[in-house]
Amino acid sequence: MPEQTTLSSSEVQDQVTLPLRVAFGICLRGIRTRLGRSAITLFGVGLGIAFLMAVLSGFHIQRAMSAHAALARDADRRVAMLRGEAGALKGRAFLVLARGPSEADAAFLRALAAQGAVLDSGSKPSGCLVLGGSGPEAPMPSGVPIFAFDSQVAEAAKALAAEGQVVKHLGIELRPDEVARAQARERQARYRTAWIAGVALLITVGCIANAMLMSVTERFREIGTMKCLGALSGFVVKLFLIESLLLGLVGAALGCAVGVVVPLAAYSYTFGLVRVFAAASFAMLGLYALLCMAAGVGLAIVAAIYPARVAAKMVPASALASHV
Amino acid sequence: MQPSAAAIQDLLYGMDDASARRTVVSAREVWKVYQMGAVETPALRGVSLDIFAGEYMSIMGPSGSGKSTLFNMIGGLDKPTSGKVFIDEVDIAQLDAFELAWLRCRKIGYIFQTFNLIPVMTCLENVMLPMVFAGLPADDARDKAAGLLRLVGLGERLKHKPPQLSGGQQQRVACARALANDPAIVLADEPTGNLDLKTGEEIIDLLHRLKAERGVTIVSATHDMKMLAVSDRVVWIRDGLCDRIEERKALDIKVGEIR
Repeated sequence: MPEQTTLSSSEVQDQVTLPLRVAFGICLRGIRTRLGRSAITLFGVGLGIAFLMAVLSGFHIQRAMSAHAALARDADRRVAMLRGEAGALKGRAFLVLARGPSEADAAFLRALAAQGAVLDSGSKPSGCLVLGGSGPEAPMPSGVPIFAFDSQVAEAAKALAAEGQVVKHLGIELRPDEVARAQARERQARYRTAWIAGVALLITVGCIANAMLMSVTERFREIGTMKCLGALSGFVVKLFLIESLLLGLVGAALGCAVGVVVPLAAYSYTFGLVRVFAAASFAMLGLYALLCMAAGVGLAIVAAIYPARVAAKMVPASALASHV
Repeated sequence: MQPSAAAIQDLLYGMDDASARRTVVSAREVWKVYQMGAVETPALRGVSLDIFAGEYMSIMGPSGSGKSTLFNMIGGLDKPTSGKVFIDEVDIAQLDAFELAWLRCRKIGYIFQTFNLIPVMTCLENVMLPMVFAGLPADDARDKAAGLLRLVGLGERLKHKPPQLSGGQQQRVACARALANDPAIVLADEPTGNLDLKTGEEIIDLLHRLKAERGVTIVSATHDMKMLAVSDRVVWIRDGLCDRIEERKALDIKVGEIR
C-alpha cells in the first residue's frame, strides 16, 4: 500500500495566484479571435439595452414636450386674460411682484414681453402683476390696479381691496373634483409608464441572458479542458467575469447610443428639431443612459457568471461530456 | 524527486520483480454508480489495479465496459462512489479543490479522443497553458512549449490555430500539451478514436516513442487493437470489472497466434 504524502501548501499557492493580467490577456484574445461570435453576443446585449433606453428616452421626450406645450398654452391664456381686463398690452408698463417664480410664470412673462408690454421699467407702472408663491412682501404701489394670478394671494388681495385698491383676480380656481380628476389622470399615466418600462426591462433581461448564456454554455467543454489542465474554478469564473464585463460595457454603450439617437431622430422628424431639443433635458437622458449601462453590465455579468460557475464546479468529466 | 528516465528504464528492464517497480497510480476496489433517473447503473464494480512508472499500459474493452469511467477515476476527473485512487501516493479523495487542480496541472497529462484543444489559441499557446497554470514565467513556458511541439513534429506550426490543422496534427499538439509540466503519468482516452488508420498509427508510434525515449508513463483507454503491439501491459475491462491483466510476453504469443 502506498504511503500517504501530502502536498505542501506553498507549492499549491504558486498556482492559486494567477495574475489578473494573464486572465485579461486570454479574454481579450478570446474575444478577438471569436470575433463573429462575440459580435452576436454584443448585438444581443446592445439590442436589449437599446430597447430599454429607447423606451425610457422616448417617454422622457414625450413628457418633456407635452409639458413644454402646456406651459406655452397656459402663458397664452394668461396673456389673453390680462388683455381682457387691462386692454391692449403694447407699450404698457407693469410692475412684477413675484416670490419664487415658477417655470409657468417665467413663460408667462416671456409671452407678455413678446406682446410688447414693458416689465419693471422703473417708470410709473400702469398695473401690478402678482405672481406665484405666498402673499407679496414688497409694498404694493397704490393707485394702480393689481392683477393677481395666484390663488394664494387671494387673502392678501382681499385685504387690499378692502382698502379701496382695485384688485383683479385672474387665476383659475379648479373645483375639487376637477383637481381629483387631473390627479387620477396623472397617476394612470405614471402606472402606464412604469408598466411599459417594466416590460421593456424584462425583454432586455431575456435578450441579454440569452446571449450570454449561449456564449458560455457552448464552451462547457473548454471549461472542462481548462480544469483538466489545472485551472482552478476561480480562474475560469474570472475569465468569464472579465469577458462578460467587456462585452457588457461595449454592448450597453452601443445600445445606449442607439437608444437615445433613434427616439430623438424620430420625434424630431415628426415635431421638428427645435421643439424636441428645446423640451428634452439632456441631464435626464444622461441619467437614463447611466441606469441602462448599469443594467446592461450587471445583467451581462450575472447571466455569464452563473453558468460559468456551474461548469467550473462540475467534476471535469461531466463538463467534458456535456453537449449543448 | 522523480527518478530519471534512465533509472526507470533500468528498473523496468533490469529486473523482472514487480515489487521493485515504483507505483504511480493505484486503484483499490473502485466503484462508480451512475444515477440514471430512478435506476442505479454501476459502471465500475470494484476495480483494483496498479500502474508502474515508465510503463505503457492499455485499458482495453468494448464500449460501455466502463473503461472511460475507469480512465476518469485514474485521472482525478471524477470521484469514485466508493474505493480509493492514489496518484503518486496521494489519495485523491482527500484533496481539496486547490490540491486537485495542482495535481491535474503537474502530475497528470491528458489526451482526449476529441483532442479538446482551446480553439481560439495557437498551438504554442495551447501547449503553454498548463505551464501558465503552473506559474512558469512566460518566456520559459514559450521556449519549452516550442521544444515540445518540435518533439512531436510540429515545429513549423507554432502559430497555427487548431482548426487549421488535421486531426492527427491536433492530437500531436494535445500530446505536447500533455507533457507540458513533465507529468508523472499521461492519460490518453481513445487517442486514436477520431483518427483514420494511418494517423492513428502515427499517434501510437509517437506515444510509444515518448515512453521509450523520455520514460513517460502512459495509460491509454482504447479499443484499438493496434495499441496492443506497443503496450507493456493490457488491462481487459468487462462489465465494470477487471477481467484480466496481461503482460507483454503473453501478448506477443497471442498476437502471433492470431496471425
